Amino acid sequence: MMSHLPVEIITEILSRLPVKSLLRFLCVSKSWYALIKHPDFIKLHLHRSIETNRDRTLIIGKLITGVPRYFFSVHFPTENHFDNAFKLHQPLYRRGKLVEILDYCHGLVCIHHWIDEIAIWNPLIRKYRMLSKEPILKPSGFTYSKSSKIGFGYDLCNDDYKVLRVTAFYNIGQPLKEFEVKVYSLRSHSWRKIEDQWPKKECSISSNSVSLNGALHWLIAENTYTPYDTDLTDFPRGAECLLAFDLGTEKFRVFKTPVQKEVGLVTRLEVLKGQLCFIVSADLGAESVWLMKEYGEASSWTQVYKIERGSVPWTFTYCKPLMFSENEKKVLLDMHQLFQTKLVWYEIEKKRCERVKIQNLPNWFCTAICVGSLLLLDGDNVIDPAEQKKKRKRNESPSEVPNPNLLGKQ
Amino acid sequence: MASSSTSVVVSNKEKENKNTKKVTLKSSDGESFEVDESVAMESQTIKHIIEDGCANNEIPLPNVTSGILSRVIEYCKKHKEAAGESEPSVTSYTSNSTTNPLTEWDTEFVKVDQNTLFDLILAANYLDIKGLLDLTCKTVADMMKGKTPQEIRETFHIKNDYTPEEEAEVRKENQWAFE
Repeated sequence: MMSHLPVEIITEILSRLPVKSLLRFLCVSKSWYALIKHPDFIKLHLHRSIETNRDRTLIIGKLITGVPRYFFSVHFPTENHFDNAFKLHQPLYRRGKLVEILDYCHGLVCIHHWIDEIAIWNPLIRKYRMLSKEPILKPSGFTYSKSSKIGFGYDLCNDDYKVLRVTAFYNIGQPLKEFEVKVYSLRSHSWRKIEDQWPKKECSISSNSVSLNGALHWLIAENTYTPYDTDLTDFPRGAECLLAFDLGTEKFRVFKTPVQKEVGLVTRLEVLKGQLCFIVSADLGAESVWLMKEYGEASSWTQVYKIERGSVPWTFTYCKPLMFSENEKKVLLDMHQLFQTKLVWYEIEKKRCERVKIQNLPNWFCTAICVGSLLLLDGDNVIDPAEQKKKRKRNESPSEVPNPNLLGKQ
Repeated sequence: MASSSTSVVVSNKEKENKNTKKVTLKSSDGESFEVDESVAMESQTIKHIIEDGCANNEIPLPNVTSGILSRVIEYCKKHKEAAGESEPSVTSYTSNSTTNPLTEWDTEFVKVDQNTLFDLILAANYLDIKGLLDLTCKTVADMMKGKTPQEIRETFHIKNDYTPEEEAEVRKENQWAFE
């Protein structure tokens, strides 16, 4: 019967399936294989996933000085229901190397070990692409370079996923810097230099990056030199503004932040409710959170909530807002403390906290959120070395019952 | 006094006429169904026919049998009623689908044999009724979720055009999904 259904109906039905089912159904027939792997289908399926929060999963990266072998995944179909944490193998596994989550979108997570090893990973289908290594070219006239900053995001215009690498070069005591900006495109698997000039050469990047509306965003600040700064590790502490890089036009823009940073405060960027989010944190547990209601309009910055000292039973260094609850009265926070992380629902008006208890979660972690996506279906497989070992052992040992792992092997 | 009471009566009649404007739908096997125009317009296809002024007395639907058409009409009636009654603010708070008043009714509605289900999908597609297409496709998708490729082929009568070697290669691409 189903073979008599027109292909657009089969597409409608398949687009409503979770990713794991679709991976199996690649085997149903050649036409289903072609359909599922088609970029138009992958887009439709992703769109449905985003609409319905299908396969919605927290990806947890264990932060530890030591051997972070595993990430974890926590499926959470509804706001009130978080599954147990399951170990998830990640593609940059190397002994003793700390792997961090850079940013995420559309079911893809960009992870890196410092700057030299960067991977774009789809944890729910266990595929990844390693970025090729790209040399940094120091321009003449500059002696030092700061460690590069990277950003990851979706280019709306070209339907591409990109990584931007920014490297600042400087000479001691001089306010002006030179910048090398390079972009990696997932479609072309290659790096390219960006021609547009850095708009404020006296400022360098002072925050994490976030991706929104086809652009990457950072906070940038002027470098002010105090007697306590050593030039090789200067932290920009001066006047701050928001830098946007449009991945389509490849041009920089500068926006005002809602408040100016004062001494002792930390500022960060996030994305919340599809809007740019600016967070000012004071020491030990007070934050104010702003959203840019109209993208590009600095006058539209609106404070949406505040966490005051004392309204939360724990001290924290910083809370990353992950999402609002459906009625928008609560916000899910990734609450960072010293060597500890907690997931907490914060009720905005009532100023109350509720801890989200998840089994098997590590103590200290960073988070990403994925929905079901078939992007990178043609990527490399993430191999778990422990699983490989088990398989080799199974293949070596003789048994009377036919081993399903041996079917089809030459 | 007399004139005001007359005008009240007239306006009520006008209202009644507006509310009960009907349209006739004719199935492929010749059966006619009279339905409220507002209910019929749940179908975008029918809505366009009416708006283009091509409705006349009857709208022929050569792709839909009477059995299926009567079910489709039942769906449209129920959903039109519900849309009229519920407050938009209430529905936006229902993150849990079991608090959506129509979820139970919808679940019962799709408890039909597979052929009927597929016919409903085809009708919802032809008549362009988004809610019904969503519901029926989701029902089929839910049936498919845990199944193996062989079970899918059997349930839906799909020919396997892979050789065993080819199929094994495809399986290997995502081996973990079978475990």
